[in-house]
Amino acid sequence: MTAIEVIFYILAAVAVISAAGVVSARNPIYSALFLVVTLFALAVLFVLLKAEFLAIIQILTYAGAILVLFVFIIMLLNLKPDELIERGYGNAMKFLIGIASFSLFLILGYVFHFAKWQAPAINPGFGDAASVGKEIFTRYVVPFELAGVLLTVALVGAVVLAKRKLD
Amino acid sequence: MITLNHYLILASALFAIGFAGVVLRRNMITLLMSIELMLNAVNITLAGFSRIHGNLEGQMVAFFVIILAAAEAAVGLAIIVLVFRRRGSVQSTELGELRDVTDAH
Repeated sequence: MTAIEVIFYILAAVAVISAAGVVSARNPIYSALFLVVTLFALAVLFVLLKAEFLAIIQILTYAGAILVLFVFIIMLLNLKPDELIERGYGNAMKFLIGIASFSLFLILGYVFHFAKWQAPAINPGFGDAASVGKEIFTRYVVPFELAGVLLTVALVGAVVLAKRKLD
Repeated sequence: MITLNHYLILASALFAIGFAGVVLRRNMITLLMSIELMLNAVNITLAGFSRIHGNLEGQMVAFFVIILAAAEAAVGLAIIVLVFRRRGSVQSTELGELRDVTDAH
């Protein structure tokens, strides 16, 4: 096994196990911490896929901003242990949902099984900040501006929604 | 040798786990985190296809998915705070007003 393979398998195992932790942890704060681990593992996988800028954005935005927002909201709500008990499905239904999501995995895996890997020789600067930035500000400048508008709208919307009293 | 298939199968595993979380969980905060998990699985496939095609389009889409996830998390968490203030709970079962009244609860 090469070093890349070892790194990939370790990171994939970490990502999948902590993703299972996100879904199964009773307390949302544990879910948030498991999600951080998954996001970091995926960021390293982005680096292996020659998407360095995306990896940095993943850590800055996801682990740095979105997760802090989640943790902040969890702390703000300060849920009592009895408020964390879920009146969820019974065991039979949980088993069925497990089967359903596992078959979703099998179907997706089967479809993806046909993908061909012909790793092309790529330019040395592929996926770094310079090439991605050039792409964003030339071909994708309109979506980029629209993303700015979207973030402004989301910011205003979040403030208006969470404000204690509308006047 | 790690091929694209390895990444895609990892992504489908993460997507399936996120799907299970969205369907199973009733805590809305965990539900939002499961959605983030599914979006991340998609990002892995986008970056992988971007790598094998040797152009940056997939990475661009993944970039906008991250921006979208940030906006979604902000508004979603604001809604959760609002629901908690009104109902004193973050369980999604609390929000059933639009359910058909003839439907057995």
